[in-house]
Amino acid sequence: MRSRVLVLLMIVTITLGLLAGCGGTAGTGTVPEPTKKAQEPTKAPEATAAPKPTAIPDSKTGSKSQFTEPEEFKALVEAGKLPELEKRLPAADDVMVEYMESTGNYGGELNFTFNGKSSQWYYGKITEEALFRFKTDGTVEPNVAKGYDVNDDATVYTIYLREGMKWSDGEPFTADDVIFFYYEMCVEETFGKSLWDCFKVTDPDGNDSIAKFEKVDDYTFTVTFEYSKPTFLENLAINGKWCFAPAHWYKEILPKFIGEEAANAKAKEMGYSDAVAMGKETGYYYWNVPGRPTLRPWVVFEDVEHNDCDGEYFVMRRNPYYWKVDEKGQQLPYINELRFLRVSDPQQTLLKILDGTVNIFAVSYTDYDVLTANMDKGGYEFVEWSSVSWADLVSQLHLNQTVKDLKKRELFQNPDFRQALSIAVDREEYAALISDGFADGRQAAPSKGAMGYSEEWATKWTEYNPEKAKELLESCGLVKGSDGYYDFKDGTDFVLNLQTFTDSGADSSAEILMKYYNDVGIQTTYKPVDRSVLDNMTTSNDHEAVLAPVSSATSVSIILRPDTLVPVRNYTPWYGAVGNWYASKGAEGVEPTGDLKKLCELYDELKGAMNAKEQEEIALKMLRLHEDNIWVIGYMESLPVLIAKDKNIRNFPENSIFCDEFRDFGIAHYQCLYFAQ
Amino acid sequence: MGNYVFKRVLMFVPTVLLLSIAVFFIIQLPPGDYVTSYVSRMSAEGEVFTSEDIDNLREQYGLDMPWYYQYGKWMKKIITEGDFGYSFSYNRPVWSVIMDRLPLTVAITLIIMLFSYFVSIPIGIYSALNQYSVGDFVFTTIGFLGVGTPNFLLAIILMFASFTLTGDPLIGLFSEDILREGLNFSNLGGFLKHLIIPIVVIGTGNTCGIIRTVRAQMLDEVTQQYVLTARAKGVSERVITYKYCLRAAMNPVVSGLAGSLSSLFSGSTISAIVMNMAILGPVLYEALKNQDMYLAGTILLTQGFLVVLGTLLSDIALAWLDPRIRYAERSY
Repeated sequence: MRSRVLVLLMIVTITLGLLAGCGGTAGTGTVPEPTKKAQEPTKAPEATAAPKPTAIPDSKTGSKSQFTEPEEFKALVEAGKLPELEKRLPAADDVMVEYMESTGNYGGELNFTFNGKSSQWYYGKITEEALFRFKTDGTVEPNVAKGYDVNDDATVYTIYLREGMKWSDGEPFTADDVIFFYYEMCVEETFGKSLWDCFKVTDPDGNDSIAKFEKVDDYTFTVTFEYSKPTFLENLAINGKWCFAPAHWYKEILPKFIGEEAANAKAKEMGYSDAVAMGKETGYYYWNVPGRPTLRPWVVFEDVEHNDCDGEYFVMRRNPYYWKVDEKGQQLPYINELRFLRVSDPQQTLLKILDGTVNIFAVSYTDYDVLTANMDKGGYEFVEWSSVSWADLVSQLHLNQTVKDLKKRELFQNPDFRQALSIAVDREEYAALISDGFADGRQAAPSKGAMGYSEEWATKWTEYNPEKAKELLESCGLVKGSDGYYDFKDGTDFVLNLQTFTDSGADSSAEILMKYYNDVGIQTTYKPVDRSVLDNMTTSNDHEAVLAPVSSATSVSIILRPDTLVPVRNYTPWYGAVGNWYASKGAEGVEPTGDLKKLCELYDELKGAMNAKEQEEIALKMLRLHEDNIWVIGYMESLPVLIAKDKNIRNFPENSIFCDEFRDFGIAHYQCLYFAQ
Repeated sequence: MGNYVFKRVLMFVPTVLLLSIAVFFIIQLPPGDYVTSYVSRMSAEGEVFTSEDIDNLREQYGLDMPWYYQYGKWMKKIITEGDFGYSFSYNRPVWSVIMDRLPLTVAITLIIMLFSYFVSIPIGIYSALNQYSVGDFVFTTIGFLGVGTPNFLLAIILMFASFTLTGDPLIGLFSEDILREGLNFSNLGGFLKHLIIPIVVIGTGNTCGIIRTVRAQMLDEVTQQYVLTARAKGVSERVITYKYCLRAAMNPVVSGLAGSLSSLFSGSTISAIVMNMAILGPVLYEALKNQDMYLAGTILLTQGFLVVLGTLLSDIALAWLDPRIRYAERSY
């Protein structure tokens, strides 16, 4: 119970934090140049009416401690193979100090399982170092950057870097690396991605323009927008997580610098088909690439055996040039290395947790019993992190608003039909069966305390009323056929086809839902297909009603990450081909009507919004549309993310929020974890 | 004999070509392609793709062309450069992905094959010669149980037993030490320990089949008239059994070798996934799921090639083993 309350509090702070963050003009973190400091108070009044949360410091810049390093590095320094620690760390005033529950001791290794490329984000996120990173309260703080300033109309951001900071190969990290990344990797699309939205700004006429990056000195650069971009830092923390690339390294491999032919030869040598593939793999998924310098706590080094992330086993070793220390001055990370063992089935991971090999992993509630039974043997304990999903994953029903069958499309677009499906289910019984009493019934809505949440929304259309459901179905133009099931007016059978992917875990929820739907006279089928098949169906708009979608309705903030709630691209099942319509500016997909169209228009407005207050107003209007329409039907609240974690690991947050914006497990700051002795 | 072999070899080339077309055609049949499955997997991890990114990807992988064009390009490269294309999901040439796992796959399959032949042929002979004895019933019961139990289930049971008894589920072919240090003398024991479950699981499946075949064949043979004649002429039982009957009984076992060659590649895929074995079966399965077409295509093509080659070899071996086939050919 205590943890639930804490989580609630956290979500409340997040919402406030995001609002204040959107104001964005108050410079948090350290402002390195005294002259800039004076500007701080003048920005404060511009913040929103929402009370500013007390900033929870996760780190500070500058340390007066005597720096120390692990024994292995000491030996290398003595052998002359590595420069001294002081020369590897940034200047003492610029070094980043991580705050943590307790300072730790060096040693040990973390074991994980992985499954080839599908796991690259897993180990990507836990080792990620972004220019600015999110804190659990939803604000961002400088990370790779030392601090920032922003002008009053949020068009010019001045970002400061840490003096003396080094890449994992020992080369200096400077503003040139940022400028290089932006102009050579991003704008040129060297790494295979079109320019991220965080670098674009939309003017009131709807035209996009892109940011301008300029170097001021080795450790300072400015980002200039033609129009206000109050959420730049938050967007950057989501989109452009790393905004830097080792220019010295790329100048030896990219076609622009060494010529097409040499670059292709280089690519072949590194095992890529051509220079384009090389640019993409080393530019975007760079943490997989042995020898590519990074700023991360652990690195896949070139000269270490087992550095093939496509193989059966690989190891990420401690980065000797890592630029963070603890309050005692010990260079981070504490843990020597991360080891990854390839598995071909998730159940093997479970076995590896049970036998105590895997140290930290998110586990499923269906395995709760077996995990509890083997707790002593495996030496782990449970930690619960809250999720930001609008409803439990297997209890989210997405009716494709653009389903190809036009009769069904009309039906799915009718709120009465959705209400009928919603009230046809006895949520109390449903939740008791599905979650063993862990969770309660609920409508799909933001979590309590999050932006847009209201009691009415969370309970809208949740009263169990099969009679009313039947009336609603009839009001939608369905007629009872001789077989006892509803048919279309023209006499053709109406069949609701539930779809999901195999292993989604939705089998039992589908079974119960089908029973309820059948009881009110809706003939229902259920078909799990392979995940890639379902994805293909969603991409080509061949899906109908998806239960437990891969991209479920979830939000930390509809402003910063609207993808599952607003049809911005081909992604979430409920909005179907509207996503394509929006992304292609009307060239492809299906044009929405009514409230769905309004939702798209509001999002356009949101992108052009000047300040946080305006953004919040629009965001609330968008959420109101969701509340009015219940495009996503939810039957049960979302359970927290269950994590099995080695009992001896310290500094792992007891309560946190598991979401992509916070980099899933990344928010636990793995560099601060250590094994108790 | 020479003529027979020549005709067989001649048939070989068009069969493989037709096979490659069929393989390629079937692989690209499911809706979507590698890019759709890739994009959806990465999107689920929070990565953002615009439709422009997706088009670029498709162009980069050459997936924007019709399938016969892609096939032509693929075949041309195979024939002229020996280049089997590029695996999208491994970001490496297909052949290097396959070669990474081939030696191990061959080794494991051979060990298992030898295990099953060594165990099953003697048992088969024993059962036939001692039909309806206690031993025969015991082996027959075990045999039917072995055939009847799905391999993967047996694998799960054994892994669970190992986990409850020793605390180590023995997942995979290698312990972590071997993965770190490579196979050497000190950890050889660990490797052998990890081999037990795969051999028992995959081996028993084959074993039971062979026992039944050998037993039935032997029973057929021992009642033949030539056996009676030989016995009447005073030929020893040992010679009758091993020189005459067994030789004739081996016929179906040898023709079964063709299938064994192809199982080098995809045999016991499900068991291999369950037991987390780093052999080619799971790679093929993943490649098909992800629509990594050149990788899947090459594995299937090689496998088909091996079946055809295996059939050729076993035909030749049969012709050598069984004079009747040679004579039948000659009489044309």
